[in-house]
Amino acid sequence: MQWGTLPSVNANIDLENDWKANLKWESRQILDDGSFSYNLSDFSLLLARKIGLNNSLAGGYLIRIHPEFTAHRSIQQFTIVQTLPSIRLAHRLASDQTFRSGRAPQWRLRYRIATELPLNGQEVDSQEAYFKINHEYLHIFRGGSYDLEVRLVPTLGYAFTDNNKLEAGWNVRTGGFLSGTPNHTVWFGVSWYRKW
Amino acid sequence: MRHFIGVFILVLLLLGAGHTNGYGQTKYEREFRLKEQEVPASAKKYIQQLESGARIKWYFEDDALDDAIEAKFKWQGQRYSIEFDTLGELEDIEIQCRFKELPQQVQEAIEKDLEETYNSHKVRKVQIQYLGEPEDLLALIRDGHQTAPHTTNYELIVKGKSPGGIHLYEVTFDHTGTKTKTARIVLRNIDNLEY
Repeated sequence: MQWGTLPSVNANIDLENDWKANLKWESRQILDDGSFSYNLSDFSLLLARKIGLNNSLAGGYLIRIHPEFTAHRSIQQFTIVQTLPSIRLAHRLASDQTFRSGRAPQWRLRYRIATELPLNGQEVDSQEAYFKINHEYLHIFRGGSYDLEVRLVPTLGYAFTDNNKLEAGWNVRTGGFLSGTPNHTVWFGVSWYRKW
Repeated sequence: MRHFIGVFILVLLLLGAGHTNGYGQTKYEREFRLKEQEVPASAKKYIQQLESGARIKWYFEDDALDDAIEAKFKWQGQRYSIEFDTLGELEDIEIQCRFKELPQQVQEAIEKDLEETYNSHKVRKVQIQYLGEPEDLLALIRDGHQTAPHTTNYELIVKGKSPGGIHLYEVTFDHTGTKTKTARIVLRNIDNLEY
C-alpha cells in the first residue's frame, strides 16, 4: 500500500454561449519512510459546452510532469447531473488517451458517480459544510492488456460561497484487479474549487 | 516546473479577464434546517391541527426579498409545503401534483402559454398553491371542505429552451391558467461534482 498527498486547484470560468473552461493543477507527494517526497504534477485544460440543462460535453488536454518523464493525455467526457427530490447525482462518462515516450499508449474508459449531501438543509448554501462522495471505475487498456481500477473518494467540503469551495478527504484507489497483483494507493487530498 | 506553473497562471488570468457570468437572474433561495423548538408556536399549532401524523421537517428560507418558515412533509402520498412568515402566520400551502391532475382547461391554457414562450419545454414539477384565511385552508386540506373562497395558483418548474439558451424557470399561473409571474432559477454551481 502506498500513501501520499494530492492537493489540487480547480479553476472554472464561464465563457460565452454556454462554453466554460476548467483549469486544473494537481500534484502528488508520496509518503516514504516517514517523509514526503515530490512525485509529479498534472496541469490540464478542459473546454466544456453545456448541451442541455444538466449535461455537458468536454474535451481537453493534460500534461503530466515527472522529474524523469513527461506524459501527454487527451480527454473526452460527458457529464449528466440528475436532480432528485433530496439528492443530486452527477454521472461522468470519460475516456482518455495517454502518450509517453518509450511506452505503448494507454487508453482508459471511466465512469464516475458523485453526490454531495449538505450537512444542513436541503441544498449546499454559502458558508455551509457538506459531505461529498464519488465512486469511479476505470477500464485501462495498454498494449493489448486490460485492467480495472476502482476509486472511492469521500470528502468533507465547505462552501465559502457558491463559487468558492474547499474540500478535504481520502482518495482510495485499488488497481491491478485483473493482473493478479492488486495495488492500493491512499491519497489525502485537499481541493480548492473556484469559479469566475 | 516553474515555467509550466507560470503558463498555467497566465492562461487562467487571460481566460478570467474575458469571462461573462452565465446567470442573469432572479430566484435564488437559501434555506437551512430549523429545530422544532425554533419554530414559532403558532406555526407548530397550525401543523398539529392538520392531524397528518407525518414527520415534519422545518426550514428557514431566505429568498433575498422575504424570510419565511416552511414545514415540509409527505402526507397521503403527496408532498406538502406550508409556508409561514417569521411570526408564524400562514402565507400559503403548496401541494405537489402531476400536471395531468390539473383541470383540463387549465392544462390547455398553460400548455398554450408555454408553447408560445419557449421553442421547447418540459414541465419538471407542479405545485398547487392555496392562499386564503388559515382556518378556511385548514378545512380545505384536512377535511376537503371549502368553507370560504380562496385563491388557487399553479406553480410550475419548467425547463425552457429559447434563443437565449436552456434555462430553468419558476412560472406561476392563476386558477384560469393565465400566467402571472416568471422567474429564472439560478442553478447552483456543481463544478465540484463535474470535475
